[in-house]
Amino acid sequence: MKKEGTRARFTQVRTAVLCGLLLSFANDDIRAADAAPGPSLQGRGEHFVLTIEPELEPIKINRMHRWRLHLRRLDGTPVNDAQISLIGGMALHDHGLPSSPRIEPVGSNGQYLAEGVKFHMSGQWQMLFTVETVAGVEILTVELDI
Amino acid sequence: MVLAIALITLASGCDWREAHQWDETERRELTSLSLAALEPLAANPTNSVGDSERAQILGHRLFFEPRMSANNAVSCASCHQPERRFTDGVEVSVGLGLTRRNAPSLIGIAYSPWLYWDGRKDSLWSQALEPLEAANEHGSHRLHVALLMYEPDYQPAYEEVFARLPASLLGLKEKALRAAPQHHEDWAAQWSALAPDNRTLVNQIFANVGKAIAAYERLLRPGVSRFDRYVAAIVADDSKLASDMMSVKEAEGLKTFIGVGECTQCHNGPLLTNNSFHNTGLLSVPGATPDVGRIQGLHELQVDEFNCLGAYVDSTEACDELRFVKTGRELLGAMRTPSLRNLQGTAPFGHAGQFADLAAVLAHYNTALDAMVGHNEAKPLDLWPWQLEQLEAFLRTLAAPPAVDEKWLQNPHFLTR
Repeated sequence: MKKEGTRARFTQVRTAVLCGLLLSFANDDIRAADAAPGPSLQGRGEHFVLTIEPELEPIKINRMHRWRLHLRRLDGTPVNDAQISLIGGMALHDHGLPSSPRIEPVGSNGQYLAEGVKFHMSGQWQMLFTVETVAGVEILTVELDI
Repeated sequence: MVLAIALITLASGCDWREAHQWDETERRELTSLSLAALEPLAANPTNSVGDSERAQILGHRLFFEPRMSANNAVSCASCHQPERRFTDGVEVSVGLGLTRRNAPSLIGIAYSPWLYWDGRKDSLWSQALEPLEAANEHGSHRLHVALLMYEPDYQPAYEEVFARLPASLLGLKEKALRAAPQHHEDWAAQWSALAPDNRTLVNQIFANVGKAIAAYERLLRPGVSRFDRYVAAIVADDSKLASDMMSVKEAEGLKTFIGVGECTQCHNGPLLTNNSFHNTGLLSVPGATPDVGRIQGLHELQVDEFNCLGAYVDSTEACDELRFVKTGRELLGAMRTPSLRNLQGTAPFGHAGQFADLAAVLAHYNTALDAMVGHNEAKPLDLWPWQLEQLEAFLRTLAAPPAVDEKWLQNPHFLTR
């Protein structure tokens, strides 16, 4: 149910991969484990694994907060040189996030911080992480049920 | 006959039970809307006197002060009238001239990160400054407002809250200058002619006037409504009290509100607003250019010298809403979601008072026609007429007088002049 305070669930990850100058494109459905019992959300693409830890747990609507991100390659190597951007929205309501989150690297262990994350409605949200590295670009679409 | 009465009784009993029965998920949703779920009002670091009692008293006087206006007749209370839940009962407010927007209630507004329908201000205190200089509202200028604080009836109260008033501005009093950076060409020229230090001092005093008004406005909290008592009764499984608090019709309206009406998509939380911006296709005033709403408000916000990242804040530690503000075309025609806690006696509704009553508002959302500008996020409710009546009946249960001592609702100048 789409209710305030409900734990955000990482229900599905679709991965679209563009390598280098759009050398390839892939769309894959990956069922990620539900977040319970730990606070981490994790998605796996063709190149990267992105772990999301909201600092507000459970996520509540109308509350701006931060997400700690951990990016690594499939072999577990931390990725420090990525540029990650985030957009999101609700397909059912034809609107985006009520804020413009920004993601910056922190430290040297593949850690990043997403600031300015906010949701203003309960329901199904799609979050698109664009991960850019010198090797290429991977876009992860994460669906959340808030 | 007996059988008929029994059947009628049974039928009404069934209606009663069904209307007041809520499953666990619904109970959680009701609780989230109840005033009991309202968190304490967080301090606003940009205004260090926001919760000072002396600032509240000063702000109370300033809120009702007509001498800040060009004709000595307009005050904040002219359009935000306490007896009308801090609205004014007209489509668009009238100060020295006609404005273009409906005056929203101020009750609970301190919880919103955005002020005005288009959110062009990001604090109560910076909002309070704009009407003072708007030609169609107070029609005044910031130098006049600042110098008013040097009057004998204000100087001690001001200096108790803020710093000692600088003597360097006193010389400007005799010159009868009219100085403000905007709105009036001559005033802007006189503003530019002021020494930079003096402009900064005037701005500081002007900002402090806003901060005192904000301290007063932070007192205007919503009161416990019939709906809140109903939720408390439901949570306590007190069905008798619940049925005393809300009729079957109202409870059915509540079911629609959190159910098929999907009203809580935007009107959520204890104040029944997400304080965000949505284009719901509200019609423009006949003959007027469609209101572009938030997209213009955002532009004004970002260049506002009194915004959260400006020079006149007491701290920039809590400016994330501005730092990460939403941008983009989606904001075209979007307006801030209003609270639903003050609908009783506050018609007309809509950013330009387009809707004479609640029935007209609900009729709009029932059809949700295409927006004149931008994209209408709302989908037609397609409710039956009786469902709309139930919904309206429920909305009226949210009304309550503000939870504030009566003295704050009175004009303090009646006692002193």
